[in-house]
Amino acid sequence: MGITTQMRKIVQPKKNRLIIVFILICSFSALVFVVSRVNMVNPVGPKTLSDSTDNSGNKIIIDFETRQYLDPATLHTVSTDVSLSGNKSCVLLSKKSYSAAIILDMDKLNTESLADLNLNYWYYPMTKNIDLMMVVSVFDKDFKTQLFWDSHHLTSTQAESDSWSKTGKKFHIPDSLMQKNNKLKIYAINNIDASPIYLDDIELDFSGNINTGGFSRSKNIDFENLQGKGISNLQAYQGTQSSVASGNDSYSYLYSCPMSDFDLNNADQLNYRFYFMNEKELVNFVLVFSIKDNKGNTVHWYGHHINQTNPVKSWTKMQGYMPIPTEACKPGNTMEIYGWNRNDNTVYTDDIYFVLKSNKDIKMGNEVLCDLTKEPNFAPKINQPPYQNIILHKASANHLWLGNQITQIQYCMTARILSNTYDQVVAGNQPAELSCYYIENGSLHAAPIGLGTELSTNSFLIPCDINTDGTDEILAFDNNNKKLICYSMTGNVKSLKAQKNYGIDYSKIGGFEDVRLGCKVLGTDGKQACMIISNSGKAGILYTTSGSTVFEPMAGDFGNITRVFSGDLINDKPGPEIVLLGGAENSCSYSIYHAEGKWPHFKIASLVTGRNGKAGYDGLSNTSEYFIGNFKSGTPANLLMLDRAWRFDLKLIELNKDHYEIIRNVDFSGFTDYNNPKYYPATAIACGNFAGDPHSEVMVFSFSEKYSAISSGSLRKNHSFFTPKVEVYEFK
Amino acid sequence: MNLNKLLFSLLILVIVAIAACKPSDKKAKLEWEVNDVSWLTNYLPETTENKVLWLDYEGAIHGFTAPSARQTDNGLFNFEFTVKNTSDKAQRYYYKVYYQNETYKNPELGSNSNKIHPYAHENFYGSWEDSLTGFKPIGEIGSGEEKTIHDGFRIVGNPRNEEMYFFEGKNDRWKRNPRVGSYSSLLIVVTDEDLKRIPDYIQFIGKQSSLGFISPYYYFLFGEGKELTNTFVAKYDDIINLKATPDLGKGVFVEEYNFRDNPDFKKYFDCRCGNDAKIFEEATVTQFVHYVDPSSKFNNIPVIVDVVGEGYSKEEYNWNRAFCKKEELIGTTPQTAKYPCRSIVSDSVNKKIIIKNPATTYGEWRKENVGIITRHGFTYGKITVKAKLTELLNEDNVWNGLTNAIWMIYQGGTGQEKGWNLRRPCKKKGYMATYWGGRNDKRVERVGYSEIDFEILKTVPYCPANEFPPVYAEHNANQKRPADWNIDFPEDVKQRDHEIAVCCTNWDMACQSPDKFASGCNEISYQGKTFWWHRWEDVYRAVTEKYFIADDEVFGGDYYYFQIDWQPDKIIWRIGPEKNKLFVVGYVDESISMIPNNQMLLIVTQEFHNTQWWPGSPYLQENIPFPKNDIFGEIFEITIE
Repeated sequence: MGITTQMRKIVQPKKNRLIIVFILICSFSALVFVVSRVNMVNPVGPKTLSDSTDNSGNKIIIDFETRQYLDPATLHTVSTDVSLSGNKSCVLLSKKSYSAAIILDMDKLNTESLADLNLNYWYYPMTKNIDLMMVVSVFDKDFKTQLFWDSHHLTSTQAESDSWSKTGKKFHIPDSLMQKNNKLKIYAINNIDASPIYLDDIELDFSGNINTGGFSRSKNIDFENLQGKGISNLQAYQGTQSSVASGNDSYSYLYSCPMSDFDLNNADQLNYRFYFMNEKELVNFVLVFSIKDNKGNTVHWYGHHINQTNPVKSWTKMQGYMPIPTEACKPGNTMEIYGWNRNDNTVYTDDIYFVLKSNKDIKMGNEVLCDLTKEPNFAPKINQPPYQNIILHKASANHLWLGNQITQIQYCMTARILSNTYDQVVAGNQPAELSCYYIENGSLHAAPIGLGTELSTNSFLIPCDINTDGTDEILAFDNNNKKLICYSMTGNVKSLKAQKNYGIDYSKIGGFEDVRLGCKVLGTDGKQACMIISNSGKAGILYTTSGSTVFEPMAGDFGNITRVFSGDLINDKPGPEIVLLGGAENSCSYSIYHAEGKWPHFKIASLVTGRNGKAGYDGLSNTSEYFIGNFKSGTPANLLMLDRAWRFDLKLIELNKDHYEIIRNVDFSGFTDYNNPKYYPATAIACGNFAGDPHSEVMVFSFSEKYSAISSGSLRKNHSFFTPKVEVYEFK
Repeated sequence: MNLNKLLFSLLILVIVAIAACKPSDKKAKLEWEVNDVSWLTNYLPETTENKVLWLDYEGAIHGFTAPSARQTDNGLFNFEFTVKNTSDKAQRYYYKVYYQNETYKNPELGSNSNKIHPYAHENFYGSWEDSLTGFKPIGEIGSGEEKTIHDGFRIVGNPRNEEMYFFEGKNDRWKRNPRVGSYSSLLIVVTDEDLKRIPDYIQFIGKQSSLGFISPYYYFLFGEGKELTNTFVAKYDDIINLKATPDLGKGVFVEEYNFRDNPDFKKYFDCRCGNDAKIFEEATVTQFVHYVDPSSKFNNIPVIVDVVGEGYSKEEYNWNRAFCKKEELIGTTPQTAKYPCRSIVSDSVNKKIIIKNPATTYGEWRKENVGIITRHGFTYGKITVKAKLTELLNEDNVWNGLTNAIWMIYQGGTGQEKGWNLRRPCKKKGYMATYWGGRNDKRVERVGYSEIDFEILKTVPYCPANEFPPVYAEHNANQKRPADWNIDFPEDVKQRDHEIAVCCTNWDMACQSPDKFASGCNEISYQGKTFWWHRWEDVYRAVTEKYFIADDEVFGGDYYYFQIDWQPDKIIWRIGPEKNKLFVVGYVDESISMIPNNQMLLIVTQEFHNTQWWPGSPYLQENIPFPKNDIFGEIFEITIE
């Protein structure tokens, strides 16, 4: 409510679009032919230009950033007022003023191609009136005799002032002038007063045809005639359209062009200029130049960051340059140019002009170079909240109430002890009081499967089909008694019994003093082994062969590993991987191992080691719990990370050997008695294929301390709040 | 005889003396007669009792006329009367007809005096459309002869043809449209002799005296005109009753000005929504675009839920409030439509308007306001809206963050013209100059801004003062103790858990002219009911009253009625399930708040407010999820009577 904009107003007539008319008049054509006694044959063989010239294209771009090729006596005309690329241009202030003169030694030119000189240049008039003559001349070695003279006459009374335009002409220089020591001199004259004009990026091309539609080493993106997201006709620097990004972390139009469109020889630098306009003062905007290979992988990323307070609703010019690595400068690659708006502003960009150059062409110094690829702050943005929600819906299976006296469980693991086709959860507070939670006929049930009372509560349990009979045994590593006891389950669900298969002193295995971490490991043939890690950092693989338990130690120190889990997480590698996570809390790293070979001869080989676990705002945490499930068809599997450091925080993660990415925040729906599992002070989770369908489900155990149950939060009556329960959820 | 008896006797004597001095009835002195007066001889109303004429909206964007060219054979209300000369000599006669809106007028006489009421000139009266025409000649009637006059008039906007309503040389009669309600007529027949005694500013209603416009009704019925001895004066009540009901199926006009930042704003135009000439002429509503105060920014939880549709419990609200990290929040303000016609539909079959607050998708975070504003302004009237606006609370009584608003705002011009729609001067301290200027805004004698609101949302009472604000317990993001974050509302808030507040507000711009102008909580009675009215402080620009009612009652059914009864000296807010079952939920009169007297438009919106506007609200806008689905509202009927 409040004051409104409903008042009817006179609508100002839309500003008419300016019609730009350029009249090119070539009014002079003169040929001065001086017959010389000098041999008419080219005195030199094919040569390249100097080291600042393109070998194959025979091109030179004069952008006035350096003194190279410029007559020192005319450098006073170099200006920093405006420029097309880089910082500088050349200005012709008044009538009869001359530009900086470009001087080239004839013998350094590829004389085979010299017959035709394509000269293109950009000009920036300050008024609508232009009367400019661009002169191409040839002098003798002492500059005493002018041997050749031709010009391009540029006149207009309706030029578009305060903007860059380009033009050019093809000049023919007689071969007879291609003598050693002759000089080619190019310069411009301003023929009218009170009409300053700037010149920049004068391109001398001795090979190709004149190109008035665009430079083979340059491009101007004016966003005209483009459609799609990020194109705006609300503002434009010139023409009627620009590219716009509005809102925090929004992107403007993605302009894509194959690198093969450009002459890439010797190009190792891209000079650019663009204009931007902001609707609010505080600008936090990055113009991104990204080069991708033919698989879509980013091989080079560069951002020009504007982080400043800027006047609103006016166009501001920005310029700079970026190096292009040699490996990125390939014809099969694609360059993408787009704006990345990083706050709630709206930023328009227009007339992005860039020139591919050799960095030997221009020495600008490094002071303007901002290589954002090395700035973590500007790395492509991933793992940044907020995340899109994905919902775990309560499955059709019923829930089970747990006794109010249960406030947590120490053991909660997915196992296949009833069937080799679907999973169950073995959970409980101590080994002797475990239960098996399973789905049968669509209903969730629980059956006690207490392991032997001989096990201490300081036991580490790993379900694993170590004897390859199709169902899991439970390997219990009793850390008090230094024993490994293998239990098999017998009987049916109504009378499950844990039968002790064997017990061995694990301290005799590889010198293990205890087992604090471990997980099931699958070979490429699906047969299983078990990886264990001790407190002291020893690790190894345990498996049975020919009825004997075999232990193979793994090389390395695993002392900083805090989490181990395995699953088929990586698409391009067959079989499951083992992920080990560790390190300090704020510098967590992960390594990925892979089982090679067939059981029982497989080896654990390293795929990735020490990958940074903190890429982006949110990272992998070495205190979180990790669960792997096939929540969609096929591989790779997805990773769930449960972080309970501050709140119940369940995230769905894609992890591979290159990076990890948090793709969703996970929440629940359909929970029993209005109590979302995330509300509970304690929650345990297990993932598995509990229903026997193609997808994994999530079994959630929710517990509450007694005092927590005294909730005053709801007005609903007759409901139990924070009563311990077990539920099964699934992604739909 | 004691002193009391003596004084009583003296009083009786004085009364008798005054009665003896009173002139006898003028009509009795006339030596001529006016007979057979008939009004609206060419118009047959629906019933003889109500004599209703529904205003014709065709072409009415340029101003209403009653009747329109389509409503009578000649576009006029015909009348006739006969003058019979009963004297012994021939005489020349003249006549003039005035009309006046009686339903929404200030009295002609000031209180406790025979002087003209200070606001009598504001009354909507008129005469011949050409205000340069004064009394029309009847001609000479010989002794004993009679003559019957047949003539006509029509009720038009800006009847005094005041310059202030002209713009670029054109008489914008729509800027002072005829008022709805009952009209009287005043027939004056005069002789040559008396005509010369009637001042120009009465003969020609466009002219002003040194005191400004003088009501001819005052002049002839109570003022100097009453003393004219050879003049026939007769007032005829209830000759016609004007009512208005815009056809909501006539399309939606789009004001280009509101979308000037989007050159592509016509993208969703169609034959029922746009700004072409046909829609300009026919449409009765415009898409309303809110002014969004940049300071109303809030950091919203990054949650997208259909709060009312799919449910969102108090526990969920409390959990998200406690456990959303700062860096997860979405900084936003309430937003407005970028493209017109996408969130509003004019249904020509059912003659209704459908509005919708669009759904949010991840990354396109939006809490977008939506609504319509009428295009034909009125001053005063009983404005009744039949609508089905969105439910505000879900089954757990969690609020979806929307405010359903039925409100009125001053009408603006078509261009840069100013000053034509100002409120009457505030004689005491003046008005606050602007709506948005804060407490230190300068004061001015006149201001254009006026607003009368129904704002219906989830909030708490401000009055009585000792109950405000509710004391909410601090929540603590302690996942180990749900009782720390899952905190219940205080008992007094819980008692109204299923109720919403119908907030009735008059924006008087802090004019202190009313006798009982005050701030804080105060009481006022109307028809035996007492209402608490509240003004934050003396410089606060509005008074508000709140009525609490179940959300299901108002928005749970197929429709509900909302009525703003805006009269010259009072405003009465009523709601109800049927038009004949309305009940009063708010009352303000001129003793406590300056009642607006300028021309206003009606707005119906579903809008997201920053709850900082509503201190003490149990739910904060930033803790309410973004809408997952479109949120619809329907407006079935608007009547102005």
